[in-house]
Amino acid sequence: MVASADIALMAHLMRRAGFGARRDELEQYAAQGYSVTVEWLLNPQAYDGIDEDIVDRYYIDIDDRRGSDPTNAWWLYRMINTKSPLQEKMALFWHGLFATAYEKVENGRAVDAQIEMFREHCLGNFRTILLKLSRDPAMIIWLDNNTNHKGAPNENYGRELLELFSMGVGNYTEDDVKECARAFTGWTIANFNARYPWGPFPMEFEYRPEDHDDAEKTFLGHRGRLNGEDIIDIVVAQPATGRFIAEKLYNFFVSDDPAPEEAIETLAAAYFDSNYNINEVMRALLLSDFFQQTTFAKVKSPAEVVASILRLVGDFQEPRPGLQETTYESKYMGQELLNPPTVEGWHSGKEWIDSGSLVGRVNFSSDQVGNLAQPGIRSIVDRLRSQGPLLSAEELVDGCLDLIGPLPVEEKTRASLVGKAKAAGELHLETGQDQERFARRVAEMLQLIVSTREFQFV
Amino acid sequence: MTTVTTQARAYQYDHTIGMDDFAGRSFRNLADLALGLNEMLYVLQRGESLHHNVAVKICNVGEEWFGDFGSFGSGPGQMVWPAGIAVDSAERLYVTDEWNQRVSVFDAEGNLLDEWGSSGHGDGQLNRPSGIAFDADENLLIVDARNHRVQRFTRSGRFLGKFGGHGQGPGQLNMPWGVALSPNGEIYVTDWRNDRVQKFTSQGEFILEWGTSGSGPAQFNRPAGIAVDRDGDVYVVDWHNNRVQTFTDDGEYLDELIGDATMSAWGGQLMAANPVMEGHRQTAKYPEREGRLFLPRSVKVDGQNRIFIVDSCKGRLQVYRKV
Repeated sequence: MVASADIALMAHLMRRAGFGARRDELEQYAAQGYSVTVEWLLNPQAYDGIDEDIVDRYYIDIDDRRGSDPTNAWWLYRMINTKSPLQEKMALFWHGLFATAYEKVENGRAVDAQIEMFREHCLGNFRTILLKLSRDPAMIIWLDNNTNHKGAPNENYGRELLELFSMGVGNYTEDDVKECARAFTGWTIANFNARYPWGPFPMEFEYRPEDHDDAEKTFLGHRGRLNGEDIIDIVVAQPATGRFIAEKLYNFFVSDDPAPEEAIETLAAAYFDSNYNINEVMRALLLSDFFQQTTFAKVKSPAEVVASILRLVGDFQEPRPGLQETTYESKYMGQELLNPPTVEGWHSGKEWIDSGSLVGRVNFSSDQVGNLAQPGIRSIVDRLRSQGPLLSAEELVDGCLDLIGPLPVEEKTRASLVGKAKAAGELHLETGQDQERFARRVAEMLQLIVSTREFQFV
Repeated sequence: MTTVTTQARAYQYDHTIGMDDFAGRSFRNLADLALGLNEMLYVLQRGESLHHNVAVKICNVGEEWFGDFGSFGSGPGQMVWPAGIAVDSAERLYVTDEWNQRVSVFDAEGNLLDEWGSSGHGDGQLNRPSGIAFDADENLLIVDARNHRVQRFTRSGRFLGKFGGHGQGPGQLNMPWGVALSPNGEIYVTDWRNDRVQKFTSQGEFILEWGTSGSGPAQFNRPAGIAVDRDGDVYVVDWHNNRVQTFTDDGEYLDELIGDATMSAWGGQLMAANPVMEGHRQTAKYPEREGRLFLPRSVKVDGQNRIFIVDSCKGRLQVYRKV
């Protein structure tokens, strides 16, 4: 028998480092132990449980990946079914940090390739990630580096590389931005516009030496004929970069509140001690006390709401129609993946919630957990049924709160849920009719729980 | 014009049909093709999930456009995941639907004539029907993919027999996709998840198999559609290797077709009317890539040994001629 505290800690880990887990999975992870599970998360296996060939066979437009909708659907399918959850969560982290929008790129395959690059390198070396990012066709279009020419630099990518992607404002000068942009001249792409009459040509990175400004530059005190790779070498070694990555990871994985100095120092030290290895930073984070003790301190992002609910209820474990339509739920709640509002990404925390988005969250979640045909909901019903033959209102509420999380709620929330359960009458399990009524009552209780304030946190 | 020559076979590129767009005189995400009388082509479009643009698009080999029919849904005559199409001697069209688990029968104008099939694993029931072909008696062979078998039906849907079964052994299948018959009536099936082709007698008895996983000659990355020409040569769509491989009737590797598309009539008209588009096209690096196959799903061969490759995600048909 696994202790309930272990289940609660494991649920916390899987909510943050993935998109939640069903109770049978939590029991399995808890049995193997916390640190073993962290290592499993940090070392994604070659087979992640996704049968891409089957997905492509039935979802022909995912096979095609021409626009953002199929790519979005492919990502949601992965979030629901992956056996490497941290890999998808890290891809989501990098997508939020290096926010690139299809609306400008207008090439679904290029956007998909960027997310695939995040997937592949998400736990790798930060130098590699920045280098891949600087050569990524979708990013080059997004921040106009294809118009960054020798003698006529476009500073957009150079500026954001320093401000939003690595160091943060206050750690470089305007001259550094100018020199950075010069270093990335000639880093461009082939096949931007050619797309008719049979769809887009594959875009790819292209270095044009004749368009690269090879003259001497001075960047953050370093002098030489610096190219883009030299800039990245200098950037990743900056103390500000270690702190920047630490803060961003803390806010994504630990808390919406500002990171305490001690946490930043811990994570930045892991960054520099490992020569910028993100895997080591994440190991330090997931094993830290500040991570394990900071539960329900983040408002779920819409992508987390959708993926975690679908994972909980067990929908889309196999291709069926409706996947792309379902990705729109996240958009209605304020987060359209692959189309961030600006290069700054999404404003998270409490900004995820307004009256409209809250209704969207509650309606979507309620529809899903109220569907007794979903295998994950059947499983919750069956577990509660095994506690019969008679369940009190308190037992129903506590059982549902436990199996949907465990989700701790304030006493007044619990009292309200118990009141609703009592008002609906006693729960018996003797007859077939009782069983059906019981299942409906469980589903209704789950619907009430996903409507609570507490359920909006992760 | 590309000509491929091998072991006394030569394949000459003939022409390209269609252009890519989501509606109207165009193709988007194609599933299959049926070759009708008088050079008619019935192109089965799976379309896009959000646009619900499933359709049978009708044109001819000379790229004349005759319109389309079809609507999304599960009502009579509607389609959700259309997968395979075959045409009988009376120009009736038989369409398999992997979601609705049925076969819909239309006349050449798109009027629904019949609809049959039910979901399940019993005799005559279907679980994601895909490839479809007529035998010499004009009965239908239907690949019943998730039941890992091939079933034979009359044209009105009466169950006649079956062969296959889940597994990796000879005669067993793992999510098969395409089916085709030789001039002698032998049956070829693409054994999709086993990355091989299997050959059966007309009664479904195992004869031989070939193929392994990979991207070399006679290797496959999920073989999809399949066809046989009048001489008995076999054409296998090697889906995720973006090519069609050709074999003798005993499975000896002959060659591969990787796509050599030229400008189609519809595409040429679009580009002529849009010089900016054409200007962008002219700037493309590696322009030969425009002609290559991209995730093809089906292949058909007509009585003249013309090979029609359904170049699914480029919204076109590529036509070769065996000379």
